[in-house]
Amino acid sequence: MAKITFPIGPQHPALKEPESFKITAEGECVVDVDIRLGYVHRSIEAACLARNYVQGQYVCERICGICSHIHSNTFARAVEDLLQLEVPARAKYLRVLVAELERIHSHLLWLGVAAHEVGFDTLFMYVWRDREVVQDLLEMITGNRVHYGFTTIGGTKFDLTPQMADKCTEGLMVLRERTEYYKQVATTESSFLKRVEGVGVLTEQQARELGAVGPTARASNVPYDARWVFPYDAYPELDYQPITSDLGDVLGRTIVRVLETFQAIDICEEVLRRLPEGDIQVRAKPRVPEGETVARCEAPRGEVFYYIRSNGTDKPARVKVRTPSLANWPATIAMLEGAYVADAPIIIASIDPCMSCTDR
Amino acid sequence: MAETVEQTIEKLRQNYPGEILETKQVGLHEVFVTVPATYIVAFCKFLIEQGWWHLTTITGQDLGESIQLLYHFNGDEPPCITAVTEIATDDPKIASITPDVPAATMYEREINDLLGVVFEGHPRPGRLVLPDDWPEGVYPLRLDEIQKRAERDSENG
Repeated sequence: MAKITFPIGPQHPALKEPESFKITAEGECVVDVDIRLGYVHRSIEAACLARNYVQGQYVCERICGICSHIHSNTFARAVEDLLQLEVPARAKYLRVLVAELERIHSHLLWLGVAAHEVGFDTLFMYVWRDREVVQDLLEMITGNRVHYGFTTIGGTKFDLTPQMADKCTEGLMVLRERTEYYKQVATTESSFLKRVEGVGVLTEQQARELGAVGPTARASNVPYDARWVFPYDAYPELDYQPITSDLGDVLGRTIVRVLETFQAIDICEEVLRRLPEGDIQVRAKPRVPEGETVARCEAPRGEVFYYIRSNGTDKPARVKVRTPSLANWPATIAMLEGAYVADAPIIIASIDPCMSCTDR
Repeated sequence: MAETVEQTIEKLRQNYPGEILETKQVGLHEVFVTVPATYIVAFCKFLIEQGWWHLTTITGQDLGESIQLLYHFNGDEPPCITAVTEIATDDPKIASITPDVPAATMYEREINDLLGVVFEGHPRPGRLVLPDDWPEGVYPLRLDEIQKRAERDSENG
């Protein structure tokens, strides 16, 4: 059969964000994929060089509209390492609280998108309605639905009042109940299962070789999660295990994300119970001593990596950002090869890609 | 915590048959190991065999006379290893690790776009992030380009 090559994206009804996939198909099967990035490239790494560290943190927060807290948090942790600052215990716990609330909102958002991609729009509407609960909590704590501006170099900007903590506990109870229902739908609803079971399979060996991260890797039985492998903030004091699945397909990735939502709810509740008293911020000097450092954090999509080199001034000499979506593209190509063309949208969506993260 | 950083450096020096120019600790649990550019593929393969199976990313930076490449690896527990190497800015060529470490494909193509480093033997070279009509030979993260942008910005206020 003759091979034909056709583009999906950068503007395409099945793909909501601008990225270009050149797919070569033989009949209904994908045989080759080439990816072209850069359609939302904003030169953030270069922009950081012209700004001081405080401004740079705000710029980096704008890399992603979904996991924005993780970017500002990782940036702050790298700079704190260069400054040799010890962050107060309360700030560490508050950072974890916002990071885990963000994970809940991101995973629910993904579940909605995945449901929409397989034509299950009722689930999409339900999930996104309930996602408003966690969005409201984030707005209450930080003042914003996205781009929270919560972390600052040396701690956090806002404190949590007892009233807010009570509201969080109430909200988390609602979320737990609703997530229970979504878990049941995602694992038993036959119209959903038929579209995700055995689709987009990534073996454990492939996941390791291609450098997959986050739920994509964990659904292929690679127990790699930066929160527990390289514990940071308050994570060393919280005892949880990475959630994995050995299915390796889109269903596996769905199950991992739903279970991680429960885990995030558990962590939030434990943080609220154990939140230490004290300051939330220490003063940070604007000038950062010469040196280089690395910071790793687990974003909802996988490990975020920052490399920062300082030349002793108030502006960085190099800021390198590796986002989880970029790390997952080689694995996505492997999943697409051999799959049906009609499954391409859900396979691409299954890594929870963020094009703005990918391009920076 | 499994090994201390010192133990890891000691083990690396004993087990790696090639030349190690320099080692240093960065942050809590990162080890930066400088190796000659000609042996980068061998060293990356060695790290993967030793258990640092995951290539986190490759960082490229222009230091003026040379371009520094940092290959950040990690395993299932700390510490992590970064292989550091430098190549001349006026002849930026290095062997591609993609045939041996498939995870490197996007990172090498991105550095090729932004810093103009040629990765010899890359199975699928070509533009990744810059637009199709971007002028040849202009690399946005080179120091001269950063300088030009800064001057242009100050002129425009």
